[in-house]
Amino acid sequence: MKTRKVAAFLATIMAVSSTFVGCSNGTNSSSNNAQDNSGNVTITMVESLTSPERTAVLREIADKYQESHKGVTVNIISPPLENADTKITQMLQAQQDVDIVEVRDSTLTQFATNKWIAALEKYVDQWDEKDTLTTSAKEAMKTFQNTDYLIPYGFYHRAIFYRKDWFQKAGLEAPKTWQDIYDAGKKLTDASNSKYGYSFRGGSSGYQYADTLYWSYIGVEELANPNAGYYTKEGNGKTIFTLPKVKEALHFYKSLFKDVSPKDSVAWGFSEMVQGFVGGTTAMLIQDPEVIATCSSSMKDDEWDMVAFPAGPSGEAVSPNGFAGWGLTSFSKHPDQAADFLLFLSNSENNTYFAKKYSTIPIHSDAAEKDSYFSTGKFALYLKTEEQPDVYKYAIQPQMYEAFAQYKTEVDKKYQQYLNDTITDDQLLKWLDEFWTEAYKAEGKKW
Amino acid sequence: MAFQSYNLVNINNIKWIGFDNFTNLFSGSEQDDFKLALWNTVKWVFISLAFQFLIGFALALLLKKKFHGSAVYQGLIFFPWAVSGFLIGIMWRWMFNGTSGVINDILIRMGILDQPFGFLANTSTSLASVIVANIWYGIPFFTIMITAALRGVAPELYEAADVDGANVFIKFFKITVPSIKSVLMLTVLLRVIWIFNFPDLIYSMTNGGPGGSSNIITSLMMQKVQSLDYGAASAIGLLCILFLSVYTIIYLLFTKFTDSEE
Amino acid sequence: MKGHQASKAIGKTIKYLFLSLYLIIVIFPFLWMLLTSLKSSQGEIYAFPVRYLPQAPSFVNYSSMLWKGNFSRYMLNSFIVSGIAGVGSVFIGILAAYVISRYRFKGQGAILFFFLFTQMIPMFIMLAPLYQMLSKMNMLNNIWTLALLYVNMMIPFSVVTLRGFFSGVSSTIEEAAQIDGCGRLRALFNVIVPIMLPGIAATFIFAFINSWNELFMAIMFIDVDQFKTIPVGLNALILKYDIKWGEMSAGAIMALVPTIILFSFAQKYMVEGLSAGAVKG
Repeated sequence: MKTRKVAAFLATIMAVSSTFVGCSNGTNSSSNNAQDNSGNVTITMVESLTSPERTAVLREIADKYQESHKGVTVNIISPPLENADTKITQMLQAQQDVDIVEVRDSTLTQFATNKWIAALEKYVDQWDEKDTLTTSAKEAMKTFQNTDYLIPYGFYHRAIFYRKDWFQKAGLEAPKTWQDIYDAGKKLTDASNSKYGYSFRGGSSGYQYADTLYWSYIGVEELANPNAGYYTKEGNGKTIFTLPKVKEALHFYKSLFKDVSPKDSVAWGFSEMVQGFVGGTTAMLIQDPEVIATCSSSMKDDEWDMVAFPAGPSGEAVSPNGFAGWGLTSFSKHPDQAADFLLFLSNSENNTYFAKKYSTIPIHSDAAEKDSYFSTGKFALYLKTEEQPDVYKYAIQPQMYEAFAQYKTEVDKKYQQYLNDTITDDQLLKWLDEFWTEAYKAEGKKW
Repeated sequence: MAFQSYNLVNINNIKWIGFDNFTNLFSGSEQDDFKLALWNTVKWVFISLAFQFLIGFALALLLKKKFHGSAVYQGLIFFPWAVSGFLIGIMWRWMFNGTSGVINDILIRMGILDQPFGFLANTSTSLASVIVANIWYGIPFFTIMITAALRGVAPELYEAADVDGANVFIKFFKITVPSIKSVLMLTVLLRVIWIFNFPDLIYSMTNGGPGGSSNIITSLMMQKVQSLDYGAASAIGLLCILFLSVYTIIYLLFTKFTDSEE
Repeated sequence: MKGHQASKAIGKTIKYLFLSLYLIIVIFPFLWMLLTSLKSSQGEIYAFPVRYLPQAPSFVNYSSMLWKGNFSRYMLNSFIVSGIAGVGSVFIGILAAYVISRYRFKGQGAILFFFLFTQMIPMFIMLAPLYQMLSKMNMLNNIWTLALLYVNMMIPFSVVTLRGFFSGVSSTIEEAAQIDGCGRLRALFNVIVPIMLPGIAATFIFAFINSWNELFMAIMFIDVDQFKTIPVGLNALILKYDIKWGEMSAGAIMALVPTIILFSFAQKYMVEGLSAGAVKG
């Protein structure tokens, strides 16, 4: 009797749950099929650095494509930014119906090592617009194992944003060097009124700013390769973290935080540092061109201006060559159609439009001819820096190492401990040195 | 997965590594972070719990006797409980904001601070700040549970005690506490497990920072997931389950033991 | 006697002082969100020293959430999944709790411990394996999957809570009904359930609110905009460069309204229901 009841009870639960499962299968099959009977094709694209404005621009370009390619539908998936890369990893591992995926400089190694994204040579070689690609674009495409795993949509080359009105009032010149930033920042800092000199980034990815300082102190020539910015040209995996100049740069980095930045900024990430500047808390900010749009919309024109990335004692201004782009998944069901859309998205007209709307540096050399936006106004400064290649240089962390993924999650913590005086400069540098010496030993020379 | 090198950075490199993920936590490269997180977890759970419990209990006692508007009052103070951990975190992060946060503003106006202070950005205050938010969040749970339990205590018991001339304290310790003891025990038990498994607040307020100073082991685990190191994350997850199981068994044995004493 | 009354008055004052102070502390964060949501410009939101009242209250954040974003759609989705989760977990909870409280069978303690045990597993760690599994079953991107997962998430709590209520209802009523010719199930739903209504309401609300607020599963398992829920919509307001505090506050307030309405209706039942025996263990 008892067991029968228990059995009946379990059966009820099963029945109830299976109805749910039944429902779900029903709706699923209609919404998820990539190709229905009429031969229509759906291309699914996932973005990582999502913002509502950017999604709208992508949608616009996708609509244009649909217009001229009847039967093709482009779906854009936009996970919330905070969890996007974790989620994209899951999607790719499960080989969900994804054709085009946003590949960032920081996720390229992972996606390519796991063979989730496909080599694009066979499409790029036949592309009629490949010749107008800029040198940086071509280099970025070949970052991993000299293979085209992505077509970049733009570059995030950094520059100084500063409060023109505050500088004028204090009789200061626009900053040119890191030292200028410190000196001007010191004058403009007034903690009791919640005004500070510099939007320091101590939170996620703050180490990138310390790295640019190291490079600006030692100069790019000292590096083994600008794409492996932690190793010196001495070879054998010797890292830059044992160099006395790097220690000097680290001290300067800390003084920027202690003397001219809000205490809160030890935890600041992208949003807080930009908000600090736009909201009138800080006088200077070093950021990507993306911020131009934010500043234009929330500040008055006479309140802010931009100058090129600051130089260090070596005379060089070394900034990270940040980029992101689109890749084609290796398991796409319609690789040819997807690639066709990928090239459409990356053609000079659309990329220039996208770059303007989203304020990145475009990938085609004829962008400035196409749209004067890139030769006048704030963007002109990037053209100027390209004319002085001996001063304005680029380097990047050794992102091709698998160890980089672990590094990325631990390094911010170490820097924060240093900035809060929990560990000493020597302890931090020793940790950095050991980490990358170890990585070299485990993975060898990868550049 | 806890016994594998399971990192989605390179899926070709997934392999069995025995207890390496665990030894890493206790004596290897992760030990400093892990020990700090472990100690923080103890503080996070017990300080949060103590205040939630005491304030929740006090409120329940005050609300026991209905007064004019007590139903409305009760409705209002239960609000925090209806909000998600993520949103609570966001709200408090905004209020604790170190440059234009309202808490800074209030403290400055009261003359306690003379310039804004980055509560969430300082290693010595970040954990305390998230605990404050957690206490705020958890009080209603105790108030609801204890109020419910108090209403269940037979009024005859108090009447009898009044006849005997017992004072407030005697009534409290001889009648109130024993009658609702089992509720208190169960609530505390459940609550410890929930607080332990509640990294949402920390995630949205500080993400464990700065420098890991506000990490508890469950938020450390979330970071491992975000860096795609599922091996390490699973190892931590397994440890969490182990800790909680041991805690529950000890707790249950202990409470059974005191029960049978009576 | 007079002294006694004086001390009583002092006690009362302290009591109300404490209650009012606490009320302020509880309400303040909500009030602050509301005030922030009515400020229209970033400059105003970030002003320091803080400007407490908005210069000119504006609903621009609300309208941009509702019309520019897809917030009303998210709201509907949240209602669907939370409603199903509430009803489903309570229904299964009633059946399971009934069996556990009315029958003695082997392993009963084990079942209860198992429910407790499920509370110990950090949900975050389950996301990845669950994702791979759901992907194989072709169940991703599906609002019913999410609802099913929420039902599943809330079952342990429902069972444990409802079991307490069953223990509170004497089985003689049920037996009487059976003698009158009701089957077991009919007796359960026609006689016992109505008596337990406050408890059931309390359990339902708990399940509803928890599902309403759930974020991580919703992010992981739903891609397409049309199935997203409110917490996901709010999470998406954390951008690379800024958190849109104005819109975030407006969204938070809108997300709160339904739960608060539900709460006001039901908080009487909550306390009543729970005191009827939810926590008697």
